[in-house]
Amino acid sequence: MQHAIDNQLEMHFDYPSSSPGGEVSRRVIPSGFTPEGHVRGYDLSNGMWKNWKLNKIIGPSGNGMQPRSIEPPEDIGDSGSNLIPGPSRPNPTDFNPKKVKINIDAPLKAAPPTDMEQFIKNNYADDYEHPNVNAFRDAKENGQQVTFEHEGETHTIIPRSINDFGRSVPHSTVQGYCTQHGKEEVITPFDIKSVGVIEPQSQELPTPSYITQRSLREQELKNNAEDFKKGIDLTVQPAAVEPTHEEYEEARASDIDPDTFDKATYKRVRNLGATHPQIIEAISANKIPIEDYEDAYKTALSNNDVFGIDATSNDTHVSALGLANKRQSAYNETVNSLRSMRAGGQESPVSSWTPLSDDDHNYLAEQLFGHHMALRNYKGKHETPHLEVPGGRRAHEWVMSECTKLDPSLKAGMGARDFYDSSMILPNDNGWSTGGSSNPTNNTYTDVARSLLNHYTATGMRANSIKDFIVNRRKKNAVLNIASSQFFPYEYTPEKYEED
Amino acid sequence: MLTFNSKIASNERPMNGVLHTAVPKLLVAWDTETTGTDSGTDKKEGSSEPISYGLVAYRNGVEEAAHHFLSQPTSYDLPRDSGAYRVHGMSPEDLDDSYAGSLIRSKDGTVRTPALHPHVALDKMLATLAHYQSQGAVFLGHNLDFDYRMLHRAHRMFYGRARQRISPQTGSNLPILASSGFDIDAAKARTIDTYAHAKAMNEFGPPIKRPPSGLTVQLSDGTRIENAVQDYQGNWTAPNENRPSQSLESLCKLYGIVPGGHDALEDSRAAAQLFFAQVGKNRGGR
Repeated sequence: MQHAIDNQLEMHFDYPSSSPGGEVSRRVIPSGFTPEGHVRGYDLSNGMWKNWKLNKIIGPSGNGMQPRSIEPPEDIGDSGSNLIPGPSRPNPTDFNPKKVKINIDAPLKAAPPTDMEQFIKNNYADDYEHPNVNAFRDAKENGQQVTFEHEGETHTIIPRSINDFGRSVPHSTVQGYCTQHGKEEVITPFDIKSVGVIEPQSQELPTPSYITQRSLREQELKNNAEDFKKGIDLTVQPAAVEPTHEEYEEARASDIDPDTFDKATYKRVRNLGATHPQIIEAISANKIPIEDYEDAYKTALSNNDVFGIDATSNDTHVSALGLANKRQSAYNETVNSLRSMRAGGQESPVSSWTPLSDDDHNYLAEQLFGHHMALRNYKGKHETPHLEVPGGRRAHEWVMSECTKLDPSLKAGMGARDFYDSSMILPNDNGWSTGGSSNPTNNTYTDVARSLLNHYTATGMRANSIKDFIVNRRKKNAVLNIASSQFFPYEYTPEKYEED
Repeated sequence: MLTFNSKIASNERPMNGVLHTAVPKLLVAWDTETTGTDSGTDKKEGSSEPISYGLVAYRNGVEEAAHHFLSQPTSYDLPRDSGAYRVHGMSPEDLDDSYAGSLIRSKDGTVRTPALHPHVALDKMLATLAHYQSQGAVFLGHNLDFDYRMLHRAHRMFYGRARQRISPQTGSNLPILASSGFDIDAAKARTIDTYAHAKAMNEFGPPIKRPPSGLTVQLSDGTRIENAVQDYQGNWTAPNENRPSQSLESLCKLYGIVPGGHDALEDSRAAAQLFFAQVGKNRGGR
């Protein structure tokens, strides 16, 4: 926490919620500590300054700590206790303490009351003054333990926290570790006849099980990431065929859409065995998308193997052309289907979606580009879950190149290897939105990616030619590659990307 | 490839009911794992959602590519004691951590890449299916009707329902075709279901008569059979007695294939291996 305050970071952690269901994830910018020892921080989810009870904070979680996504407004203080987050309670999933209920059978100051609540109201200004609460508070501050009897059982509680949210009503509770029963317990001091013996702690206050479990879980996830890293090799291996700059450029110029042409695909096809003239014939004379020619060439090679065909490179090429041309017919049928849908008013809900304006589209593409540029250029060690692996920077560069298929003007930024701005890293998604239309005002990584996904779904509906269909598909596939790469481009392999 | 205007009915399965003796040149096995089994009907929305999609492509019987997309469901109604959890072993906590970017392990210990937003996971799966469909793929899976329904269900969450039915055959197909280029009806017509195939191969034994449930029969030797069923020869037996289960897992065991353990990717592989074995048997193998 102190680290986050000192370095002006934003924190993600879980915090008990007042609504059923337990904890909710919070994004908070902490600014310091209150005199009571609470953390003062700006809650990004509802735009309010609040006090956060340190012992209730579970985490960090999610993105952990990260640079501030915004600068919080000036803290003008609380207008009342309602700004303190709702009633504290134990973690509902991992922690199930026994609540000790003890019938009062003796007075605290006077004759046995018939109405305990009224008795407290009459005798104590608030529960802070109740001797039992004070005893537990003192014991906590002095590192002591409290022993008392209840229904024939002895409890020895080392207080961990006192939830003093009750005022005028005897609702304060003490959470602590019972050395007699070896587990966490929650007690209501008002229910106890007498606090009995107060003495130094007989043992260290153990870490509560829910913290232990969370810590174990975090370690498990860390181990998973380490094991995963050991299993991947992103080293670029030299290829048998390294095309020349001129070959790349001729292929790009011959492609159905030079802006979305993929150099890596060209290189892979060359390494399957196709020659440069064969590829040019396929993509220029036959107007076959190079990615389709790659699939068809692989199929032709596979057919040769399986059926024992002793094929020349040209045989394979001719076979691949035949297979790829069949696919062109299928596209033609799809485009015709979409056209008849539109003409006949047979529309899907997607038909009403409005594509983004060019400005909005390019702004969103730039945000995704910037996110991966920041991750590529970052020189320090990434916080989990942004995986740090050798070759990982090139993986992020692959995603940047996918962004340039959406907006070619972004290519100008590919070479900026020393530029780093943490604010370019888009925040993680914490909620759900199933709305259909694009909304460029949202700014989590997933929101941005989904807005572009919806955009290309809408433009795909309007495809009027095979070229429209293919170019849109390339861009939508680029968005899908980007959308699944927020933390790390797990689908990346070195042969998927070729630098310009 | 696309049959949007064709006469193929959505419930027609020309590849079912036949004994396959060859493996298609491009075979794509796929599967989903879900939060439950309520995939809904035409009139009532189901409550279950996919939590993972698995797909393995085989070209001439050789595995060419594998894809696995974890999906964070929009509902968290998946207690640890639920049937779904017992099946696939992914808890809400696992999916939460995964969606937040952590790497979780599947039941077999394999580390999984982070879960995606369900919209993104769905679109990636549909794009992958469309990619292979445009190459003339034949699709394969065990009881794939359920998985096709889950695709529809997930699709409706993000793209809505069709405004009108184009024809009795293609009404539900339109939104998916329009948004992704994946023609689900054409895919169904080119789907081999290992369950239907096993049935056609008589793997489950002869058909049985199912009298009203709860019937208790006392045989001449005094044996009492509760919930008895009658086989095709008129003999009363206990339900499922001597009849192999119809699950993918049981069929795999029948052929000595390692089951997929209810992991979408591994179950896709297991279904493909099962099909290859069935084809071998139909060609005169064991």
